[in-house]
Amino acid sequence: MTSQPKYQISKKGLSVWRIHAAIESIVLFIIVFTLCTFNFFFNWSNWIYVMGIAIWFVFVFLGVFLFPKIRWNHWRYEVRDQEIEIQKGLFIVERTLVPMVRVQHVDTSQGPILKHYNLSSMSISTAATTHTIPALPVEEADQLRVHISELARVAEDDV
Amino acid sequence: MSRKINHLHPVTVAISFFSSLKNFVIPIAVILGGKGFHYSLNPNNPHFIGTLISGGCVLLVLCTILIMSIIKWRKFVYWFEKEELRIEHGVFVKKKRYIPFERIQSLNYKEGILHRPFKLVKVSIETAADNKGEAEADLIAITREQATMIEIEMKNAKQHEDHSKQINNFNQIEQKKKRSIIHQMSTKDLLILATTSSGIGVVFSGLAAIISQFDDWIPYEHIYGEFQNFIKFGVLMIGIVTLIVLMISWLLSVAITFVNNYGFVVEKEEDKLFVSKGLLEKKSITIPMKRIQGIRIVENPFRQFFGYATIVIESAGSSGEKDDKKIVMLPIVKKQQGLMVLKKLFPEMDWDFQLQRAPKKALFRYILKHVYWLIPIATLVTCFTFPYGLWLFLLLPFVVLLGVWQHRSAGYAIRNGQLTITYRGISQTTFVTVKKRIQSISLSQSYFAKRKNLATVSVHIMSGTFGSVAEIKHFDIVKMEEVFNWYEPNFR
Repeated sequence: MTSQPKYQISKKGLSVWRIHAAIESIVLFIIVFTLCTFNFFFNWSNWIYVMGIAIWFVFVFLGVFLFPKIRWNHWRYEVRDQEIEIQKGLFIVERTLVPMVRVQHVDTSQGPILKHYNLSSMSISTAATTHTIPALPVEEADQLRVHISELARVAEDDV
Repeated sequence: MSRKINHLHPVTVAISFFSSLKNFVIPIAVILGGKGFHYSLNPNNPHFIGTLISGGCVLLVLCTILIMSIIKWRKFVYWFEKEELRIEHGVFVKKKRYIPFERIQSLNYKEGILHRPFKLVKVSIETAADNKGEAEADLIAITREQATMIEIEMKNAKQHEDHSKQINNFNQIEQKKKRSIIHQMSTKDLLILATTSSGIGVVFSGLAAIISQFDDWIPYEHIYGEFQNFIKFGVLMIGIVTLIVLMISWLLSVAITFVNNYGFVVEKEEDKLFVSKGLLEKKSITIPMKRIQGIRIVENPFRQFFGYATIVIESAGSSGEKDDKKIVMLPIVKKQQGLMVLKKLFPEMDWDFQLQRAPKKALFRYILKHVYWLIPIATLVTCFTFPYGLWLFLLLPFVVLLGVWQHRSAGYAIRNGQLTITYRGISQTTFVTVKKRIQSISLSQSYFAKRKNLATVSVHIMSGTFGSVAEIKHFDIVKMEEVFNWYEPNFR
């Protein structure tokens, strides 16, 4: 791709993704552990230990270390006067263009982890689609929301 | 404006009675069939009391539904006031809904079997509000005169808005108001539609489901005894039976399509499109032209061979048909004729597409897409059911051919503000939209596509209550960036 959108999402967003994945991996660990316990008592097959632990390690490696890094590297956004451009993806990199005139509303939301890092996620909705920027500093998100709603009001066009 | 309170026609009671009865069919069946079919009206019979209880329950349910329907009908009133359609209804909770006439986007009509003897219609009123695909208000049964009253009130309200304009060119408007028939389906087309409809599969599976319900009643042991004789008749017999079942389901589907699409007419009046159809149940849908977001011309392989196509409109808001977000404008038409109709309706658009075709290097990706799925599934099945799973690999040449076919069908064109995309699933689809109707556009590229400098563009438009997507798959990245840039608001 020739030109990329300018801004990357907050570096802290990377930590948020990792924490999310870590929580998921704990849940997965509990499942694997339960399975292994059952296996210990009922003596199904030794393969279950190997597979369970291997899957868990692969999950941790990919989910906690590799994927968030790749995702974060691909993530770009830019809000210009007339349009919003977003780039994201893991294996498939997708660049999306949303004209301001098409924006119906903007939501920001914040879970406990995002709150801890003083971040929030922002969803931009058109009549047909919703696009989410996952981790923005709160001030920037609020500013952006105001900016977008101002711009969206300027140009009216039929749906 | 007079404040005359109107009720719906009394037939409403029957209509809502039957429609709520539909919801009670299963409970009633459970009550009746729960203990097996042991009924008796003889007081000495041990089943007598059970019969009384079951019968009483069913009667009670029926009475309740009937009374509720009557009360609902009595409580439902509507009237015109201050350029609004005002509706009050509700049995326990009183609900009021005031709809300003100028906000009404369209009125859709439906005439069921119960409506027709009394010259009534069901009117669904639609506004721009997002109601999850449902109409803003339904008037279940009113006379045609009343329906025209609403239409007249609506027009008056709208003309009131630009009153000054109205007087200046009154004559012009009078002239314009006449409805002109855009397209009328001929009996021949109707027959072709019915015979080539893909409803065959649906009806066939329906029949299979019904037949499987009779499992208990079919004396299998008897049949198995006979079965050996049956084998003697051989495969021929089985073939004939299958053929007969297929024939019946096909005839059924022909009949259903025929009845549903009988008298299909597309009309235009001012800036509105009217689509009406139906033999037993007449339906009429109104589509404001400015709500049309895109057009799809769909040609399934069979029809494409004979030069026929289906033309579908994607319109914002509900379409009056349940869970069907697309409005079929021309169910079947010779493609050339269809394009003529479209030219008449949308003269500002370009219907003589000059398409850019997919590059040769993309062919591999079109084929690979299917092979990706087939190989693992076939391998897995083979693992479990060796050697029968190997048959699945026979599908390989077909999916490769499908890939080649899809590659050859893919194309796109940009001219001024118009974007045309053709693609093939099984049916070839031509998707036409304009820049100002596109909600968002995405350009995506996978790692492997990047090495070949290919990319995919997907275009989202508003359609029904959810959006709808069209994709230009695996074209040259430079070309795709052109499309992307074309959409940028600042571009020229």
